[in-house]
Amino acid sequence: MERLHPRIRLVWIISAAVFSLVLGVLVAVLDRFLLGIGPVLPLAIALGALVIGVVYSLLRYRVWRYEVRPDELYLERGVLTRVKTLVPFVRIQHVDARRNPVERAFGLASTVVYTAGTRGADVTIPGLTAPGSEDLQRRLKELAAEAEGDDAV
Amino acid sequence: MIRHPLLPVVDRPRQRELDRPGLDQGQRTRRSAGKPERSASQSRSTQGSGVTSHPTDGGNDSAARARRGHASEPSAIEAGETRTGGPEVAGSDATGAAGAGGDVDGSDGDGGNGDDSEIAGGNGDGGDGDGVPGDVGSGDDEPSRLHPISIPYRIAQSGLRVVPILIVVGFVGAPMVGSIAPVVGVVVGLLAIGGLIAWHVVYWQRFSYQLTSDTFDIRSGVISRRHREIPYRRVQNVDISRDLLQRLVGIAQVNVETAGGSETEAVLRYVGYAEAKRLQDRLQLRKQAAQADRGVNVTEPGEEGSRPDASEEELLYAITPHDLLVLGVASVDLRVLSAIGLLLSVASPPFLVRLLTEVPINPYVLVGLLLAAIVLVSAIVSGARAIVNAFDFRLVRRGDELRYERGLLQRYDGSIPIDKVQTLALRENVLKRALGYSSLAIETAGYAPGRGDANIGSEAAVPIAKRERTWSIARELEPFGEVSLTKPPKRARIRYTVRYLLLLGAAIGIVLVVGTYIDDRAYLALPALGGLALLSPLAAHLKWRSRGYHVGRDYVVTRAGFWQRVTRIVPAYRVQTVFETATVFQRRWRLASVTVDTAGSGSLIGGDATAYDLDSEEAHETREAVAERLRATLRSAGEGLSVEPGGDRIVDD
Repeated sequence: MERLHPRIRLVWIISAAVFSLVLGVLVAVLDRFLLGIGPVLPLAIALGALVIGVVYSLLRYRVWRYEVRPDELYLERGVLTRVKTLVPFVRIQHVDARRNPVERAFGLASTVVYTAGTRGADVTIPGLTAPGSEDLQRRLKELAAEAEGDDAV
Repeated sequence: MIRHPLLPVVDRPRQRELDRPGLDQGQRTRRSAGKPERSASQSRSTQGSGVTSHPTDGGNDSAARARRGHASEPSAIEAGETRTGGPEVAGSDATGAAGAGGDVDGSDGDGGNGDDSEIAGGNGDGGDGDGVPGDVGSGDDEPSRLHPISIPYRIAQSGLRVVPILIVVGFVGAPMVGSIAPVVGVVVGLLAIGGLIAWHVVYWQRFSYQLTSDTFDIRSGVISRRHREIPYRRVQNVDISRDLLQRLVGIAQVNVETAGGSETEAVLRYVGYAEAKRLQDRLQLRKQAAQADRGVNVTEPGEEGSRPDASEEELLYAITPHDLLVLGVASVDLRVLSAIGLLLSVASPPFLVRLLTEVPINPYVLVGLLLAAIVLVSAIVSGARAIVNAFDFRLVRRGDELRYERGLLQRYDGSIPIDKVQTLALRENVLKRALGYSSLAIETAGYAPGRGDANIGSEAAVPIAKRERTWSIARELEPFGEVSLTKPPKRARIRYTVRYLLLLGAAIGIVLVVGTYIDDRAYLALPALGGLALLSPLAAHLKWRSRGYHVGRDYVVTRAGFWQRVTRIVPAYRVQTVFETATVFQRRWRLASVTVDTAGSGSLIGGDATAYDLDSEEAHETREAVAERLRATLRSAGEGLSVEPGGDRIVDD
């Protein structure tokens, strides 16, 4: 089973931090105009959110795995709800390798697999290195072409 | 000239006005010349012979079909078929081709007549030089126009929309203009009317559609022209809708849906009803042909049994008044219920509170009555809605498609391509189960709510019928045989009981808090909540009993729900992705759920095929088993076992 690049934890932690900051500001505003409890409230809430976010990101990294099996792609992820996904190669419509600005800053990328399903229409594997994501993309495309369903629906 | 009884007798004179002089004679000659050839050459054709139906099974279908008067079309592609004046499909009766055919050739019957990009006789029926229905792939038709009645109809429609605006403008503007207001008003009114008329006439003039050899072309646009070409194999289904007025006048709206997305959908407003049916049939045949060309199957066209005979109609189901009544009674649409509930809760809490406190009736009784009233009203509304939607419902299998007709106020003639069926969903709510009835819905790829028709997530195939009947119809569509469902492990029941108790506990906690600090009348709710808590083991048991799943050789079947029990049948070769999910709580109980994802549209109505609360080990095995079944069925398809055109359907042996 392959795991994600450890640096993705940093990305997640940073986004959790940003979220806590925004939350803190919102609570501060609310407190200022409505509740009037004091600066303790937003600080406590922001800190709480941050701690939860960090713990969540670490756990998330621990759970995330994927494996390229003979006939399908297997993924395991999720902290509160553990989801194990099987994407048969014959159902893969196309595969994208992409990087958003944050990922680029950290030298990471994602690979997105598209099927014709409704709930599983796109499956994203984050936290790959840039060459790694393109590698995976190529590999999956080859496997999908080999599996060669006549009609992916 | 024979006409369908529901169609008014119009058009003949108008058509003549639009025809080119001399055309009529020409085509009439041609048509009469063509007829004997046609009858001779079409082995299976029964046109002109006075018999409209092919022998098929199903009790009332020949009578029904005769009533409907749809002429059967020879299915096989007879490549050498020459184009002759087109016989008409709908409305033909004993006199078959000749009579109904009368309509068709408003315009030149034949390519031979040469001229025409200019479309004479936009009578919706007309314009198609490629007359013989069975003649499918033989190239371009003549372009056709919309039905001329659509001009006044659309003018009236736009007029109704514009008039209120004009009135408002008039009222606002009148004081400003002063004494010449009436004159201005009349002038503006005339301009508006004139503008509308001009616009719609030009629109009609510039709108044309055409069945070419590879695509369905539509040219439209008054100011900015638009030319759309839809390849036949992308055509998913062709739906016809008519409201009351349209039915009276004899026109219909045609929607061509494609699997590609909503932008490639084409709408014709409006063509004659007969022409609409004809288009439906023609597009189906051409689509079938196009798919055969690119498909895996190498059977020759025309070979018996190589392809479902598109000319044969097999009546699968027709609703009876009794069924309709049961539907009215047993349809409780939760959306209506929740909408009314929401409305009440938003609109009238103070009113409700006053009612509860000031009216001298026991508050329990009052709340009870209120709830009963809400339920009753929603039941009536949803029952009425269901009846109106399913009125005179018929389902036939025609070649590789299912065709249905339904509706009282708005009448729909739709089609469901069988090879796009993703999931079958059998729904039985508590009432239906008690009465012994079921409903069947079909989810197809491309009918997804997000792309195109947002109202229809899945199509009703059998609105309601006796359980045996519904299930046997489902088996006709997908032969899944007898299934015995595996229930979740017994400990799941304990889990549900705990869940209910926790929820009720939370509710009791809230009531206590409210009662202590805000208003002690809240305590009144306690006995009710307590009663519910006592019932929770029973509720848990019922929930447990409703759930089940089965992974068969070619099908995956899941079932869930007590108030609305839904059994989903997913053919193995439709499986897309398989999920195994386990929440924190499920993991505690060593349970997991397995979801089978398809390309169907179910997800918006909460319609995944999910097997809930399996034992973790079992869930793991099931997940793998489903994936393996998918591979196996695709493999046997690849090995050439009974694959139908397009390679995406497997006939179960």
